[in-house]
Amino acid sequence: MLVKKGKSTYLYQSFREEGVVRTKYHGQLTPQQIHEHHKRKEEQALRQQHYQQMTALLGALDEVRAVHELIVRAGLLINNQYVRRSEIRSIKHG
Amino acid sequence: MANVMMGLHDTLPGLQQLVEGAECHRDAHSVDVLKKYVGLHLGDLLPLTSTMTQGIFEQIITSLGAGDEEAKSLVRQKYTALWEIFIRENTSGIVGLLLAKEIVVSALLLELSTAKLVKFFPYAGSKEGRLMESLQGRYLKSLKMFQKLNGRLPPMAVNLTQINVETVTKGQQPFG
Repeated sequence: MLVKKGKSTYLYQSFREEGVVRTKYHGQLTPQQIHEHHKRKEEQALRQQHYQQMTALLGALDEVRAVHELIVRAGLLINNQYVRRSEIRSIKHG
Repeated sequence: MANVMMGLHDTLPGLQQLVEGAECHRDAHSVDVLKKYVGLHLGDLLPLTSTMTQGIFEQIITSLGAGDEEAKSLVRQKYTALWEIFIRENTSGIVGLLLAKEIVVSALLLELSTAKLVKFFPYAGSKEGRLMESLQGRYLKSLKMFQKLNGRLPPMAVNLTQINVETVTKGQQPFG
């Protein structure tokens, strides 16, 4: 976390030690380091946003796949076939 | 998408029960009952799944294009060409078409995920790795099932980048 005091900016890092939240002081940052810190934070937020978008799309694809799978299994049965252990087998009526 | 799923929820449990019953008993009676049910409800199910697939397809195209209409058009052409190849190779009717849709959407999602992984590579962790694995698994599963149904794979399945979008001609069936 960056803390601005007057014209200077300082970096602190929070962490949990034996259940207690502690804050460590890392020192004053140069303008270049401040810029890099903000850039990194922005990229991490973007990455998180993209990851959420991908998982949402994957979830939507899985919903479609579940319906398709059922229709595929029904279609195979109508043609006297069925899926077992990922293999298509023929039904032998007795 | 939520409305579509609501519609499906009315029909799917019945279908699932009949499919599981027919797979378990594997007798003529169970298959006949299933055949009648499918005959009555397939007309409702197919447009709904088609809407869902089309929705995902458009969403991914929009993300991949990132506001660039030309890029979007190019991606659309590439995947429409892929879709056309699967339609040509499909000999197993509606079952094959559904799998072809899955393959195209999975491939598209894999491309989007790869693009994002490249972009955020310095920050990519195990979460991203697992996501890529899941996507690849789904793509290959659909592809293998299509292969089993049709006995062979379209030749382009080896390399998506080999698809020549210039070969897409007017009047071809659009994806969806």
